[in-house]
Parts: sequence; C-alpha cells; structure tokens
Amino acid sequence: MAESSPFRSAGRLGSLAGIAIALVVWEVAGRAAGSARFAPFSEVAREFLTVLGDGLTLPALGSSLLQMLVGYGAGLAVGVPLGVLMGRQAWADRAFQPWVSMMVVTSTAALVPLLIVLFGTGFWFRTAVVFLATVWYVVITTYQGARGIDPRYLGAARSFGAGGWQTFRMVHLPALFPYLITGASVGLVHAIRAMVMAEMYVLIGFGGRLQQTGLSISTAPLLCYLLLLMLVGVVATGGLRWIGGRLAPWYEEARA
Amino acid sequence: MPGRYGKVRLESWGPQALSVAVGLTVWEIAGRLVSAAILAPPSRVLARMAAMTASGELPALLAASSLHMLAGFGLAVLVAVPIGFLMGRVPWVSRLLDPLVTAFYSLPTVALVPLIVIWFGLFYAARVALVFCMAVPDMIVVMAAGARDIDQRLVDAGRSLGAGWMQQFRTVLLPASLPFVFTALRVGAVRAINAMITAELFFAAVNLGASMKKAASAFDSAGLLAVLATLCLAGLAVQELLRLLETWASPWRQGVGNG
Amino acid sequence: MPEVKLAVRNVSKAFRTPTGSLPVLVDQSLNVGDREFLALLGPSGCGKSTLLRIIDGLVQPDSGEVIQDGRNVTGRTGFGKAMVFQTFDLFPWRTVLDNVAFGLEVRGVDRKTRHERARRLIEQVGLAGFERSFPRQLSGGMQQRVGIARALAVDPDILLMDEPFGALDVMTREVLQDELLGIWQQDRKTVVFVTHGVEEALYLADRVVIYSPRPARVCADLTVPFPRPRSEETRWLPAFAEMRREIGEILKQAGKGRP
Ligand SMILES: Nc1ncnc2c1ncn2[C@@H]1O[C@H](COP(=O)(O)OP(=O)(O)OP(=O)(O)O)[C@@H](O)[C@H]1O
Ligand SMILES: [Mg+2]
Repeated sequence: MAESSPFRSAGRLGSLAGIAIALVVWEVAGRAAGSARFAPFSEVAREFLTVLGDGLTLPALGSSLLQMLVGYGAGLAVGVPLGVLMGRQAWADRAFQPWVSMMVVTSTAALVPLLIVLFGTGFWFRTAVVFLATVWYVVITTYQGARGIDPRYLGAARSFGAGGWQTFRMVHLPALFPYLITGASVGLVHAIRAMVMAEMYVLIGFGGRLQQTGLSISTAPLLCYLLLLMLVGVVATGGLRWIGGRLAPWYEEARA
Repeated sequence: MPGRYGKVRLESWGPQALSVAVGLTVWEIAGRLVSAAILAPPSRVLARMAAMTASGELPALLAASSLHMLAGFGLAVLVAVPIGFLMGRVPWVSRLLDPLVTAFYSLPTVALVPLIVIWFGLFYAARVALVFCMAVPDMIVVMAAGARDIDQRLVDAGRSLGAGWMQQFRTVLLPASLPFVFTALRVGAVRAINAMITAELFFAAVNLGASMKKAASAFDSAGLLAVLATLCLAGLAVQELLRLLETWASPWRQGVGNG
Repeated sequence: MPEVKLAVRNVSKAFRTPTGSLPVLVDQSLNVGDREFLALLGPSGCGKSTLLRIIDGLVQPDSGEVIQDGRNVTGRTGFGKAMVFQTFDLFPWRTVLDNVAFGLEVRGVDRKTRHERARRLIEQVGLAGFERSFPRQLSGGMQQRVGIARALAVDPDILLMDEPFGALDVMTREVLQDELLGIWQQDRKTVVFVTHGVEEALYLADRVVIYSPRPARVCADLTVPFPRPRSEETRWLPAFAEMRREIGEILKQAGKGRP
C-alpha cells in the first residue's frame, strides 16, 4: 500500500497537467476564433457563474435528471433479471438473444419519431426513450457476468450443501456485482445521452434550453451547458464506481 | 469438426427463429388491434420495405446516408485506435488524456449539435463531424481498456526471448490487440450508424432522416417502421461483417466475436 | 478393518467429449473405514478427482452408488462431508472469516456463533490476524489453510481432500502435511485424501489405494504400518523407503499396461 501512494499522486499530477493543457489550448483557440464561434475558457468561466445563479438552468437540469431516473430505474429493473436469466438459462439465451442484438444496434435517435407518434412528447415519451437506451446495455453487461461465473465457486457452494436460493445469494450475486456496477454506469451514460437527445428533439427541459442557446450570439452560454453536462456525467458515473468500491472491496482490490 | 459445428448451428438457430416468429406474431396481432397510424403490423411494414426496395428508393437513401457515416467512422478509427492504444500502454499518455476522455465520454454527443452547426453548417460536413464525435470516445474507452489488459506474461515472454520494440509490437502486441480492436470497431460502428441517423434528424433533414420525418408528420407508421427496420438490419449486417472479418484475421482463435 | 463408514459400489463414469465418450471410471468399488485416513494415489488425469467428486455428490455417476453410514447418498452433497479443493476455490468476495463461516451460514447458523467458530478454526490453522483479509491478499499456502478451515468448520464426519497441497511448493507442503496430521490427531475424522505424491500418501495415510492410468482401476491396496504420531523421522525409516520403492514399481507396471 505504502509504495502505491507516490504513483497515485503522480497519476493525479499527470491528470491535472492534462486538464491544464486542455484549458490553455481552449483559451488560445477561443481567443483566435472569437466568442461567436468558440468562446475562450476565461469568458465561459465567468458566464458559468451567471448561469448557475440564474435560477432557471439548474432547476431545469434537476427536473430533467429526475425524470430520467424513472426510465433508468426501469431499465435496471428489467435489464438485470433478464441478463441473469439469459446468462444462466440456455433457453432464455436463445429466446432473447436475437431481440437483444437487434435492439442494441438500433439507434435511439431513430426511435424518437416513432415514440412521439406512440406517446406524444410528454413524460411517457422521455421515459420510454431513456428506458430503451438503457435496458439493452444493462442486459448485455449482466449477461456477460452471469455467463462467466466460475463453476468452481458453484461447485464449492454445492459441496457445502447450499440450496438454489442460497447459491444465488451467496455466489451468483457477489460474482455478478462488478458487472452490475459496470452495467449500471454504462447504462447511466446511455440514459443521460438519451435524455438530452430526446429533450433537444422536442425542445423541452434542459436539452431544449441547450438547443435554443445555440442560437445566441456568443457560444459562451452553450459551452457552459456542455460543461454542466460533462460534470453531471463524470460525477454520476464516478459516484456509482465509488459506491461499488465501498460495497464490494474485493472488486476494487481486483482492479487495483 | 465441421459437421459438428453445423449441427450446433442448427440446434441453436431453431429456438432463435422460433423466438423471432413468436415476437413478430405478437406484434402483428397488436398492430391489427390498434390503429395503423400508431403501430403498423409487420406484414405491412415488410410490404412497404419491399415496395420501397423495388422502386430503388430505399437502397438509394441508405447509400446516400452511408456516405457521411463511412467518412466519419473512418476518421474516428484513424484517431481513436492509436490514441486508445497508447493510453492503454503508456502510463503518462493515459494520465494526461484520461480526464478529457472521461469528460467527453460522459458528455452526450448530441449536445454538441449546436456547436457543430456553428462550425460546420447544416450539411455534409456537419454530419461527418457528428459521426466522428459520437464514435471516438466510446472507441477510445474500449481500446484503452483492452490495451491495458494485454497479458503482461505474453509481453514478458516476448521480451525475454529478445524481441526488440518493433518486433514486440508486431509479434505480441498486434495479435494480442486484435480482439479488442474488433470490439472497438463493433462498438464504433453501432455509434456511427446511430450518429448517421441522428445527424439527419438534427441537422438539415436529408436521406433516411428526411424520409422518417415525412412519414412521422403524415402519421405513416408503416413508413417509419420500414426505415427503422432498414437501419436495424444495416446495423446487424455491419456487425456480422466485422465478425467475419475478425474470424478471418485471427484464425488461431475459435468462436470469436461474442465479447 | 473397522466399521465401514463410506462405501463406493460399482461406480462408472464417462464424460462426453467432442471426440466421443471418455470412460474415466469403470465399475469401481471402495470401502473406507470409520476414522480411517485413506489415500487415493494415481497418475495425473486418471480420474481421482472425478471419484472424489462423485463421493462428495458434486458429480452424478452414470451407474453405481455411494453409501454413507448405510444410507444411499449418491449425487447428494452435505451429510457431514466436506471437501478441500485442489485449486482452493475460495470465494474471492468473502473475507477469510466469511469464507470459513460459509458452510455454517448455509446451514442457517446465526452470525455470532458461526463467526466465533470460524475464529477458532482460523486460529487453529495459524491464520489469526487475517480474518478480515481477502483471499487474493494471501499466499497459496495461506489460502489452502483457509480451505481446510472452511471444511473443518462444519465439523464433518468425512473430510474429502483433492490434492490439497498439489499447488504448493515443497516446503509449504511439508509444513501443511504436519499441521493436517496434528489436527487429525486431535480429532480423528474419516479422511479421503487424493494425491499423486507417493511420499505424501505414505506419510499421511493408514491405507493407500493405488490406481492405474485412465480409466482408473485399483492396482494395489496397501496398509501403511508406520506408528503415529508421525514426524520427520518417519520419512527416514528404512521401511518407508522400501514401501516408496515398492509403490513406485507398482505405478510403473500399471503405466506399462496402458493400451
Ligand atoms: N467435466 C468434464 N468433462 C469432460 N472431461 C472431464 C471432465 N472432468 C474430468 N474430465 C476428464 O476425466 C479425466 C480424469 O479427470 P480427473 O480430474 O478426475 O483426473 P485426476 O486424476 O484428478 O487428475 P489430476 O491429478 O491431474 O488432478 C481427465 O482426462 C479429464 O480430462
Ligand atoms: Mg484432480
């Protein structure tokens, strides 16, 4: 442990250097291009404070994210059991595999016009888009985890007389755990993507604001919105990873 | 061996075909129960696809859409594969670029649409740019993870047998990379096709996107689903093509392409 | 011979492989006395693990039965049997303490009681202080100590050990052999110990059954006469060397008889 800390801090320094270089490039490019085309970082940073304080943007983002959680939650609730079933039962694998492969390659954007015809542009529309963007990635990740459970652990559990439910709780679930975390965070990335896309398409919520900001004279507010979205994504997936590491120390160990 | 393989294929195709048949039947019944404007049954969608194919409309639209998809995807491969590989193998590159890649991976790429409009306008260049931006982060993430996980024992074995830098790359790193390069290509292809239609819906509506928009505003769900099914089939075909390519490129592995 | 604790009757097992059926056990029978330490000795791949897994109930034989205390337990795990595995097979997501407590948890023993018992066993195998560690933080020898403690925790009548020290270095192996003998001396259980080490079998067991290469067939059934408690000196007895040579001869003959 002691010898890994200098590497850790070197890693952090390197990352900071990466961010610093990117910001400098941004600033220089921004000044060269002019704020109508690409506002420099300094201007965006100032604008960021105004946007945070305007009392409209953050609430819009918050309510969009809350609505997204419904579709995302449904995606997890359907995707995890389906993935486990497909990973452990050959019949389920065969029955669902064609549909899953079809849906994974189908772009969510292309579903939007159809979903509008089906659901209108309200709550159900957004929930459906997010659900359809999330669920297949959760299924695939869980499926891979469930298929890869080492039969030796199942044998050891059986040797000690563990029954079906016990084996599921004490072997399948913990063995799946890393995949569940990965599936949840990949699913979340796709959920955020889908939410923004759907809102931009029908011009509502945070995505709608973002789309309309593109029409203003300076790109600074637009870039603020992009920064905000980046932050949300990084914090959300990072948070999921952190919770995963907390709940399952062996998993962090295995990745270290 | 080949005979056995054929048998396994048959055994496993039966249930899959059955599953597709059952799904289509359910859809057919549902489609006939509700209004055709909302959900056309598969029989009508198929008929529409056949008509659109016969008139040459669908192939022409697909070909036109593929133009910017292929251009953007090609550029994305040229950028993402080397960068991702370097991030996986060279620690300081990874440290430097990791925060940026994480940020762009977490940023929904459609959100770049307004910026792309400002820079590239509404037509071909904008579409290529969106495909590129949508495919690159996902491909880098896959490439970097794969390159990082190359079995160090293989690299060490190569080194201890006296392979130089270039030899190591050619004899160990390159073959060890093939599986995840193809994974990156498959992931990138899904994203690129996704971006292809997104671009046509969000910038000036052209090709397949225009056809979808027209069908949607006319409440012609058969037309909508026909385009959607075409996109889905095109996606599956590209995946299958990449899988064949991978099997051909790595004959020493069996049953590749499920990862 | 003392009362029969465990009997294997006319067990056969063949595995299906791509190239056809592979007979591993053909009509094998075996009696194990109560509190007897029995070693099964045979060349690698002859079917020892398969036989032991059939005894444990993990593998269903094609025919024949396993009788324990007069009861037919074929294909059923539990019933006072516990297994120590060749590759340790500890659960990577459980701490040492929870690995050892696993069998008790399965039986519904409450948390406090099972942890208390697990702690005692961890101490007995010399791992006090490592209760909170995860398996991958331990050396191979330590991991197998956990494996032994996990099996002993359920206080089994019959301890099944599948080459438990096969994956360890010679020094660790000899230390663990002595520890196992020490534990067994205190609380004699019926032990079936699979190994391909002649010396290990002689040093540990009351009786050694020697198997031919696959399909396994009994070549010899020898009583080991050395007095207990055994120690390093046992290995230097002239009779020990003599028996080792004799068994080596038997194994060589069996190997020649191979088709
Ligand atoms: N599940 C299985 N499917 C197919 N073949 C198997 C299976 N389990 C074992 N075998 C085959 O049965 C034979 C005996 O295996 P087994 O594991 O019992 O050998 P062993 O005597 O324990 O060998 P070792 O000393 O190397 O552990 C081997 O040839 C093995 O390949
Ligand atoms: Mg074995």
